[in-house]
This record gives sequence, C-alpha cells and structure tokens, in this order.
Amino acid sequence: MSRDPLTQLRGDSSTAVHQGTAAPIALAGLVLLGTSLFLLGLLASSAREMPFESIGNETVVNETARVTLGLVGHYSIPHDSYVEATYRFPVSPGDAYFLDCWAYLDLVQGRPVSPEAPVIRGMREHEFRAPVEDIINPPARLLAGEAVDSFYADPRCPGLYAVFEWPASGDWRANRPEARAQFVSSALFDSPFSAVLPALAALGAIVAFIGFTLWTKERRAREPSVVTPEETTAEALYHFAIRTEAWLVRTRRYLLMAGFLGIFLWYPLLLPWAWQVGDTVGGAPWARWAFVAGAAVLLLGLTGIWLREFRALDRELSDWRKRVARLRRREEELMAQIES
Amino acid sequence: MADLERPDLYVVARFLERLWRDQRVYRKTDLQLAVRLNYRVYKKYLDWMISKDLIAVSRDAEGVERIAMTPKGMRTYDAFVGTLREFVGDERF
Repeated sequence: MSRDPLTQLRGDSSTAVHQGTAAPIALAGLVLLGTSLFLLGLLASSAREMPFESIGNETVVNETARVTLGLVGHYSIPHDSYVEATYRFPVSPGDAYFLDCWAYLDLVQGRPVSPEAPVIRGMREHEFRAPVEDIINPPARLLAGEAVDSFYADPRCPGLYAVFEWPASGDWRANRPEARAQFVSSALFDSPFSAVLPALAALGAIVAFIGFTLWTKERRAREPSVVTPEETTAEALYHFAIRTEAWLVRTRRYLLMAGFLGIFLWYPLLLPWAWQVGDTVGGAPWARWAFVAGAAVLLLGLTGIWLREFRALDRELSDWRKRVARLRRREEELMAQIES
Repeated sequence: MADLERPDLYVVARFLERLWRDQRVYRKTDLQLAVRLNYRVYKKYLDWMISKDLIAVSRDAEGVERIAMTPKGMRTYDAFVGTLREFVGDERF
C-alpha cells in the first residue's frame, strides 16, 4: 500500500504528557529575584545617619572658647559618605572645623592643630556638607577597607570631631553655638546584606531562567499534537491553520501586556528611583546622572529587544493571515473546478 | 444532487483521501463508516460527488454496489494535496 501524500505531512501524535514542577521553580526564582532587588533598592535608597554627640562642656584655651561634637568609635567610610553640619552662634560669629581622632588628641593636649579643610571662619550661622575624605587630614590616616570604594577609620584611634570656636570675651557662654552634625553614608555599603543580596538576586535569576526553560519544555510536551487521530490529515491541517492564527493573535496580545507591565510601566518608576539612589549613594553630581543613565540604558535595551520580538511576531501573524487567505482562494478555485 | 448547496471541501477531501489512501473500492456502508458521517449527510455528499464525477458507483459480480475514485476525483485530490502543500510550505509538524 502506497503512503498517502497528506499522511507524509503528519507528525507523531504520540507525545507524552508530563506533570512537572517547573512552574513553581520559575515562580520561586522570580520571587527570590524580586525580593532581593527590592531589598537592594531599599538599602541603596536609604541613607544611614549617625549624629555627632556632645563631647564634654565648653572649654576656654588662649581666650578661645570651644565646643566639640564627636562621633566616637569605629566607623567605615564609603567613598561617597559625607558629614553635614548646621550651627548658629547666638551673639557673634565663630569658627568651625573638623578633626580626626589623632588631631583631636593633639587639640586636647594643647598642641597646635591645622585643619586644612573645610574651616569655616567668621560666620554666625552656616550649614554645609563635606565629603569625609576632605575632612580627615592627612588622608593617609584612612585605611583601605576590603571594598575598593570604602575606607575604615584607624582602629587605634577611631573617631571624628566637629569643633566650634569663638572668642572667650565678655559673657562668652551666651555665645555657645547651637550646633548639630551627622555622618551620612549609604546603608547599602555598610550592610552585611550588600554582598549577599546581589548574590541572592543572581541566584534567583538563574533559578527563574532554569524554571522557565523547563516550563516551556513541559508546555511543549503537553501541547496536543496538531493532528488528532480522529481527523483526516487535510482537516487537521485546516484546523491547524485556524488554531495557529488564534495562537499568534493571543501571543501578540500577551507580548503587548508583557511590554506594558514589564518595561513601559517601569519608565516612570525606575528613572526617578535611579535619580533618588544616585542622589543618596553618590555625593558627586554626576553620580545621579550615571544612575539614571544606567537605568535608561537598561530600559531602552529591554525596549529594543521587545520591539524586535514584537515586530517579528507581528510580521509572522501578517504572513500567516496572507497564507490562510491564499488557501481560501485556492479552495474557491478548486470548488469552481469541481463544479465545472 | 438537490439540497447540498455548498459542500465542505474538507468533507469531500475526507472521501477522496480515504479512497486514495486505501487504493480500493469500497462498499457504501464501509465508506460511510470510514468517513464518519451520519447516513443523511453521507448520502448527500455521496450523491453530490457522483454528480460531479468525483466518484463512481458500480456493481460487482454479486450485485453489491462498490464505490471508486474516478480520474477526475484523482485529479481533484491531487490538486487539493497540492493546495495544502503550498499552504504548509516549509513548516514541519
């Protein structure tokens, strides 16, 4: 018996049905990835603030009254951390400057100190912000930490001090400044999670990728064969044509939804967020632009990939519709031929 | 053939495919089972296809009606397969 030419087009309909756990794996990966990224973003966008505390009472040395605020203890200094201070002398102007621990010991013991920057002289009130590296002098007193972009205070003499001075003449106590200073750093770089969270995010991405790959394979295996045993090959092909068009339309709709929920929705969220993170983490003005540029590049890259896939799918759908229309014409011609 | 105004080409192809694939003449009842149609519809299609000279009915030595493809039926089936092949193109299933 010769083989029907249509039968040659038939595939193997005996595909096995698998029950799998790939979808939960993919979901678990996504949850892990999302949670890690969320926590990472939370840490990156939140600053750690450590206020300076008052060190003793005001003292007078060489007719100069002095008040000191200090942050005593071991501290790490991310590259982009800074100290901000606000002060106000009620009566007459005074000076303000920062010292590290060694310089502060010199000051206490009456030895001359020479803070280089920033020293604010002759102002009644002022508010400023300065990077820690500019305050601690010389920078050699900072020890390089394990992370490239961080330093640690010298453990033999940790501490950072803000000193406020004014002339001790007349009722000098009335001119004691109202001062406040705090050390601000990104919580991310000083957190034990800073290394763990990216690793967890990477793990989540890998698990999600594996899960989705397995899930896709399972779905393919579960898909019924194009040709069911009850149909003739011609009818099966006809139904396949109809189903394929419906499938392409559905996939295009899903792709549109994925583009909206996965990419376009994130433009108004991610860009301001990146700006905020850049503002918090980076002291330099270019840092926030770098973060925004990074987020924009990521989103534009995803948009490019999405556009390419969408155009390909749309072209495929359009081609398929043309093909089905051609089939309809051929059917009409064939019927006309039979009728004749 | 009176009341089959617009036959379904794919049902017609079901008849032709069965006759072509098995390369033999069929008894009426066997063909009806093979194409899986109820008798009323089957009869309409059978009459229509006979009227269009796609199939022919003959009697064997025992006087039993046998159905076979005609040359026109063969050509029609070839054309139909060609149409589907053109539609399928390079697709693999």
